[in-house]
Amino acid sequence: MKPELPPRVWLDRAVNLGLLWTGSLLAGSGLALKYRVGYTAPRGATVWGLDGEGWAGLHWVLSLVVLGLLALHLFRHRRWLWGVLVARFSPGLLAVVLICALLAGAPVLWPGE
Amino acid sequence: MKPSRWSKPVAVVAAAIACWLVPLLWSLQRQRTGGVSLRPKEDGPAPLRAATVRPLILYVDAWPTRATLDLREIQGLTTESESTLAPAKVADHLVSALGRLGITPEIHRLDRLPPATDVSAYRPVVVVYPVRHGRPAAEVAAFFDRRVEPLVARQNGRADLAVADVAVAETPEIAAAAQRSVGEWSRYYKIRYEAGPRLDPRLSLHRERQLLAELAGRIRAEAGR
Repeated sequence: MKPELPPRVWLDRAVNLGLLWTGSLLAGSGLALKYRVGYTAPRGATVWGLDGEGWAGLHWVLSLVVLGLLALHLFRHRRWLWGVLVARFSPGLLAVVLICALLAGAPVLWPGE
Repeated sequence: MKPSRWSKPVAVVAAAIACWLVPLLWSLQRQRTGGVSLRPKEDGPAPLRAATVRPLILYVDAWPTRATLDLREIQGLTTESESTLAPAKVADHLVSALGRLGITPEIHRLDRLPPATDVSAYRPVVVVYPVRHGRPAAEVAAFFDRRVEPLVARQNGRADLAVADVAVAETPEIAAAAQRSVGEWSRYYKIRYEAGPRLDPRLSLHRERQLLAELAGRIRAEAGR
């Protein structure tokens, strides 16, 4: 008989599955906005009963959910992440992390033209 | 009682489904009710019947001029016709915002407004125009000269007309200057005027939609006056 898995494993699975499905619908809503209900769509076009504004709202909320799940995912694996950073520290790894931070923060912090 | 061996997998799947199903259901609910912010408050006036409301939306099918001449744009070689700030698209968005309030407006390209149309039969008249060379597009002035002036003359200077506008310009300041012109023309003819949103390319799509939704709310109030 298999040993019972601890609750934290089930939590990680829920977060990962949530990320996978929510991320998929996030991508689908982006595609719908671009190709089905966007600016080039005929007036009054809807998909699943949602018009362009409805899909834009859903896309925005799903992005917040994905960001939240991603933050939770990273928090749950913080010890592993820290371990990798400390144990395998190298200039290359530091460059990877810095580029991550730059890509995430620069569009928000960069002064507008 | 010992939990079933399926209870945890089921809980995991349920939580993962909730992550996307809740936002989806919320969006559908919001679509049906026309948005939380636009619903009449409990202690506010009773919602208007759509049949009592008849706004007229007139748009100028041109682009605002810019600080720097873009030859590709005036040659029609760029894809700007897809942009959210094309006055025709802005007018479409306003129609959608009104539709969410149960109002079906009439929409025309301003220079193709049928001569037989009596603009005083609508309330309000919303003009969506680009600002060209620091002024509202020429079609707007022509509208006041050829449609509003005869109406004022017919009604002995007491035209019961309400005009609102949406100005599209490169900056909000330029849009505000154009709206001051429309305000002066309206005062000259003694008709009611309400300056609407000033749209510029720096506005986010969300903010643009929000401003148009607010205008739609005011149009509903104006139409019921």
